[in-house]
Amino acid sequence: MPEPVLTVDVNGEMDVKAKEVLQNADSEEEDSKAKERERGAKGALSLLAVIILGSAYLVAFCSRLFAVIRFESIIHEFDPWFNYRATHHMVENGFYNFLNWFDSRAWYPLGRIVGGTVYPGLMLTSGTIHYILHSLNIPFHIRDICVFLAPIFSGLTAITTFLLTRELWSTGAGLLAACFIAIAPGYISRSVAGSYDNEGIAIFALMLTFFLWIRAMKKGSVTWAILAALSYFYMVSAWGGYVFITNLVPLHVLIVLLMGRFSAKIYISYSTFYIVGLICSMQVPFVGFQPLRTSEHMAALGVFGLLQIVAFLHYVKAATTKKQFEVLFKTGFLISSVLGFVLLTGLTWAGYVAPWSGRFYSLWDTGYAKIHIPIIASVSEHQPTTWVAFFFDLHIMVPLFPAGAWICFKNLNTERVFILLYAVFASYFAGVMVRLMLTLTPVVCILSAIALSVIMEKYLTKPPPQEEQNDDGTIVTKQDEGSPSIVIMTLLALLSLFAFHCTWITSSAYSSPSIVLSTGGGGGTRHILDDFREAYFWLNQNTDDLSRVMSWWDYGYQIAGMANRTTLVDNNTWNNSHIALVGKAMASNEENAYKIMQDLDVDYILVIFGGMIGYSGDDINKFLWMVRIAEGEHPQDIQEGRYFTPEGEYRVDGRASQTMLDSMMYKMCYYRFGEVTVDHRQPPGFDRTRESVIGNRDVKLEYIEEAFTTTNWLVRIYKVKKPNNRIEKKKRRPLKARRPRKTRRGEKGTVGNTVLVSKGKKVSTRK
Amino acid sequence: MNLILLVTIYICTATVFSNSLESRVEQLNELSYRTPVIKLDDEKYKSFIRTMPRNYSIVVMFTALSPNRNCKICKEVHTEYTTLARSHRYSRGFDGDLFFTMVDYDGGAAIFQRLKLTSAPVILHFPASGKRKKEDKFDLERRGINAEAIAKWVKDRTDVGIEVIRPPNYTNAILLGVFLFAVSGTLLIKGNSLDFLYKWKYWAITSMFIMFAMTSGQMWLHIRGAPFAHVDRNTGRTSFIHGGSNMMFVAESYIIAVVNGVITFGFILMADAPKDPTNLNSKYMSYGGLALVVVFFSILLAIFRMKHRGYPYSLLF
Repeated sequence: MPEPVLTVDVNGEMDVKAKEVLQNADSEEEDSKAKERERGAKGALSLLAVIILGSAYLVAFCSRLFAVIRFESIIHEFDPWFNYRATHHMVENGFYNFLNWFDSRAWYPLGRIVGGTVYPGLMLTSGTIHYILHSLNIPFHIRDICVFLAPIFSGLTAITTFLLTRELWSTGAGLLAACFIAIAPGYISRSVAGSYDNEGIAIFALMLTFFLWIRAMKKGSVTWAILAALSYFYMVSAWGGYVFITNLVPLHVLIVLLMGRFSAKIYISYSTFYIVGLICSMQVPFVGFQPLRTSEHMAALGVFGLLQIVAFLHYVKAATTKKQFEVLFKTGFLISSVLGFVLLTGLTWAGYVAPWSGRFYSLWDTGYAKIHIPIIASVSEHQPTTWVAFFFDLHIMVPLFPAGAWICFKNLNTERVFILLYAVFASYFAGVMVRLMLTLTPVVCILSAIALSVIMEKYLTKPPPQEEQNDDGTIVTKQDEGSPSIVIMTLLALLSLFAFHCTWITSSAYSSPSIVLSTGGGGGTRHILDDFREAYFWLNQNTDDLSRVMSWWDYGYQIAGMANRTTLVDNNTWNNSHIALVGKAMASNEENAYKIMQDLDVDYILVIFGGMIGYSGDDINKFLWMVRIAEGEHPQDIQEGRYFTPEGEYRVDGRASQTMLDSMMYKMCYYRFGEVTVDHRQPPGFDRTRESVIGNRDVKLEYIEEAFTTTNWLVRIYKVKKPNNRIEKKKRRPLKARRPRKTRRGEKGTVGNTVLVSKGKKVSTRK
Repeated sequence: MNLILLVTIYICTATVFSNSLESRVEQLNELSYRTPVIKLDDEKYKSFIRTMPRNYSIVVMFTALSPNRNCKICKEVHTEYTTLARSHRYSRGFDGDLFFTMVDYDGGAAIFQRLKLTSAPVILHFPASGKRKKEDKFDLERRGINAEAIAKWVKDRTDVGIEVIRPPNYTNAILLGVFLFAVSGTLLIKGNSLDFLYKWKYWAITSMFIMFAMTSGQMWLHIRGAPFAHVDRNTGRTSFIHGGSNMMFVAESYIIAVVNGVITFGFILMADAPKDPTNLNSKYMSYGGLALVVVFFSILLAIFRMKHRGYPYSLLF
C-alpha cells in the first residue's frame, strides 16, 4: 500500500547538490511525472479507503444479524417493544398525533403522556425511512425497519468514527478505528438487529457531533459549527445521554482556554454551537426548558459566558496599557466570580435551577442510589462494572487504548485534548455504570486505532536509507532490508484473535431476543420456548379489550406491545409509589392483595415462573426487589425480614417463612405445581430453578382463579374473581321500536352467505 | 462542686427510693438532658425498665466499649446510636415517650446474663406495654449500623419518627482548605517555575492511572466492597481470584491493573522505539515490547478463562 508514496519520498530526498545538472535538465518532466504518480497514489489510496470502509459497514451490519438468522425478525427484550409500539402509532396516526398521544393503556389509572415523555428521534428516524421507502413504492413493514435500524446505523457509526479519527490523527488510524467499532462487542451489545432502542442511533449521532465539532473548531467556521449543532439536536432528540456532549464540549473549551490556546476559531465555533444547539435542543418536548434550568446544563452556559469574557479581555488588552489591564482584570474577575456564585446559589435555592437529578447524581455519589432509590439499584444496567465486563466488551483494546492516550499526549494539539478528556471521563462513567460502556467503546476504538496505526506504520514502512562513510571517505547509502516483520505478524495474530473474540461474544452473549428462549438438547438439537408470545397472544384473543393486566413492571411494555392490553406499571419507571403498590399486592397475602387489586380494577394477573424449566430470571427471583420497593413506600405492612427464614435465608421450600408462603407471588407461582413431577428422580413439586421441593404443595386460591398457563409454565395468568356477594346487573337493552321479526327466536341471522359465530357454540346453518 | 454532688446524691437516692411513674419520667428527662444516651447500671435498669407500669418506650444498646474488650464495631455503633439519640433529644417532637439508653458490659454484666446476651453490640426495644417481640431486637447484620437504619426500625416499633441530624461534617471543608492552602503555597514559593504543569508526561501518567483504575474495576470495589482475598479454612490456601464473573477480590483487581499496565507499556515501547534499525536500543525496545505484550496478554486471557468458563480462546497458555 505505501509503495508509491515511498517513491515520492525518495525522489524528494535526492541529493540536490550532486544531481543539480541532471535535475535542471529533467526538472519539468520529473515534476509532472512525480505529480502524476502522486495523484495516482492518492487515487489508489482513497479507493482502498473506500473499499475498507465499505467492508467495515458490511461487517458491522452482518455481525449483528445472528438473532435474526437464529430466531426470526423480531423486536427484542423490553424497552424496544415500547419504542416499536410508539413508532407504529406514529406511522399509523401521523407525527402530530404522536406528539399529542395520551396513552390510556399504560399506568392505569394514571395514563401516560407519551409525546412529552419520550425522546422522539428513534421513532422519527424509522418513520422517515418508512415514508421514503413507501414513496418509492417499496412496501417494507415498519417492523422490519425497526428490527434492522440498529445494524444500519452501526455501519454509519463506523463511517463517522473514521471521519473523527481522521480529523484527530490520520486516514490509516481512521480506517482501523472504523474496523474496531464495527465489531466491538461493547457497542454490539446494544445494537443487534431487533434491539430497537435509542442507543442504536445515539452513538452514531454522538460520533457525528464530535466529528463536526472538531471540524468546526479546527476551521473556526460558522457552517461547520451549525452542522455540529444540528447533529447535536438529533442526538438530543434521540437519547438522554446527550448530557455527555453538553458537558464534554464545554470542558474541552475550558481546558483549551486554561492551556492558553484561546483563538478566534474557538470563540466562533463554540458560541455558534452553543446558541444554535441550545435553541434546537429546547424544541424537543421532553427536554423543554431543562437546558436553562438544570444543573447538568449549567457548565455549558458557564463556559459560554467565560468565553465572552475572555474574548472581551483580549479586546481590551489590545486597547490598554499593561498596568491598567491588570487592575481591570483583577477587579473584574473578583466581582464576576462572586456575582456568579451568588446568582447560581440563589437560583438553586429559590428553585429556578433544579438540583442534580437523581439518575445523574448517582454517577457522582456512588452511594446515593443504593440508599435512596431501590428501583435504580434494582436495575442491573445501573450496576458498577467489573474488569471481566471490560475485557468481555473490549478485549485487547483495554490495554491498548491507554497506549493511544500516551501517544496523543506526546503529540498534543487542541483537538487531541478533546479525545483525551473524552477517554478519561468515559472510562470513569463506564466504571460506575455498566450501561455506559457504550459511550466508552467509541473512544477506546479511536485511541486503540491511533496506537496501532503508529506501531504499524513504524514497522510496515521501510526505514530510510542509511548513509555510511566508508574507509575511503565516499558516502554510501545503504538500504536495510530486514524490517522487523515479526512484530507485524504478531500484531496481526492478536488482531485476528480480537476478531474471533468479538464474533464469539456477539454470537453467544448478545444475540438472544429474550422473548423467545432456546435450549440446547443433546446432539445439537434446539428447542424453542415461545411461552411469552403464547401468553401474550392468549391475552389478546381471550380477554376483553379493556381489561387490565397486573404484572411486575418488567413485562409492562411487552404486554402493551404484544397483547395490547392495559397495564398498571411498565418499564418507564417514573412513578415509584405506583410500582410499590403493585409490589405490595404481590407481596401481601391474598386478602390484602385483593383489596389493592379491587382498588386498581385489576382483571388479570400475570407472573413469570421458571421453576418448571429452570429459567432463572423469573418473578420468584425478582421477588425480593418487589418486597424492597414496597417496603420503601409501605413500611408498616411489608417488611423484608419476614420473607426470610430465621437464619436469614431466602428459600421457597419447607423452611420458608409463613409470610413467604402466604404471599400472592408464591401462591400464584406454585399453584398446582405440587401435582407435577418435573424430574422422575425428584418428588413432585420440585423447583428446578431453586433446586428444592416447594414448601406448600397444596396451594389454595380464594380470590383469584387460574386462567391460563403456557406450555412450559413460563407464564401464568390468573383472573381476579368478582366479589361473589354482588350480582352484576344485567345490562338492559336500550329501548327500541319493535320491528316485526323475520327470523324465529333463537335463530342466527346471516348476512349473505357468512355465518355469525359466537364462540363456544355450534355453527348452525339451518335456515 | 457541691451542687453537682448534691444533685448526684439526690438522683441516686431518688432512683433507689422513689418509683412512682411521674418521678421516673422526670428523672429520665433530666438524665437525658445531660447525655442523650443514658448509661444504665443495675439499679437504674431495674427502676426504669423492669418496673411496671411504664408509659414510655426504652431502647437499650448493650455494648462493650472499654478498650480492653477490643470491640471495633461497638464504637461505630455507639457513634451512630449517639447521633440518633441526640437527634431525638433535641428534636421538637420530644415529649418523653421514648428514651435511648445503653448498658456497658463492664458494669452491667448481670443484666447481660439476665437477658442471656452473649454478644455485643445488641440493640433492644422495650415497649411501653406488652411483651417484647422478635422484631424488638434490631438486626444489625441485615439492616446495617447507620443511624438512619436504626431510626427506621425505631419508627416501625414505636411510631416515633426521628429525623437524623448529623453534626455537620467539617472534614471535607478542612481538606479543601488545606489543599487550596498547599496549592497557593506552592504557587507563592515556586513563583514562575510552574513547569511541572506543562510537562505532558505528568498529565499522561495521571490519566492513564485513571484508565487502569477504572478498567480494573476499582469503582466496583468502591461501591460494592469486597474482601482482599479468600482464604479457604479447610485447606489454608489463599485464592486471589474469584471464580465467578460477577464478583472479584481487591487483590484480583490489582493484578489485572498491573497486567494491563504492563501490556500498555509493551505497546508504548513498540511505538516509541527509534526508527533507526541499526540502533541496538531500538531492537531491544521493539522485541522487548512485543514479548511483554504477548506474554502478559496470554496471562490476561488465562485469568479471564478462569472466571468465564467455556471461553474458547487462549494465546500461549
